[in-house]
Amino acid sequence: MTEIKLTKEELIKIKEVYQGIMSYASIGLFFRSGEIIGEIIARDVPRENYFEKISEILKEKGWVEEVEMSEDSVKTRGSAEVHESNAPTCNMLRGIIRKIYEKYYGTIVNVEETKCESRGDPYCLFEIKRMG
Amino acid sequence: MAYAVIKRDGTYVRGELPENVERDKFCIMCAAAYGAGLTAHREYGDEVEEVIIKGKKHDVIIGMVGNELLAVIGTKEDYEKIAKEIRA
Repeated sequence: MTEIKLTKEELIKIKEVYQGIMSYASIGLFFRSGEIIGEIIARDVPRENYFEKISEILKEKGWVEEVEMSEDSVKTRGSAEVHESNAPTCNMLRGIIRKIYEKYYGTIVNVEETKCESRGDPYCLFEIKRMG
Repeated sequence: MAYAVIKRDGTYVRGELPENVERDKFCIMCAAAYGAGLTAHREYGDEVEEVIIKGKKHDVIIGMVGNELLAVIGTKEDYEKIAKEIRA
């Protein structure tokens, strides 16, 4: 499969274009884009050592530099979406994580980014809540 | 008449939409349309009040009510009625 490499700078600049035009709606669009990527990432990963394998893929693809996945949260460092901001910025990663956990649990989950390096937190933290 | 209350990022909150409307898609489109309207008005120093998408049969009227967006498929009067109910 052909893969396209995008630098962090390019990704952030693209996000700025969308945000500059559509304001808050861009958050939802990036989240939904992340969901598509998450579905594809999780598609062929077997349940055995699921989180370990997913963690490797996320690092290999450059979405994060470090990641710790547990049953109800994900802690990351060096997310590709981190840049100085006063609000959480990792909306694509949030979408990716949602689909990864929805496959794992087989139900709808809600993912909230409660800490983000973009606003000065020491790491990004995504809290997972099962809705079904 | 149909309506949806939507977060500014396009997440559906509540409402009454026809079954044939794909809810998530409709909501993100409304949020995007409102966001684009907001930016367009800002370009010449104005503020957006409502974004109205004129249709042949129905209009879609999108505005802010409190901290959330209200999208109404219907008339201006329908929009005002729902907005008033939400504010009450």
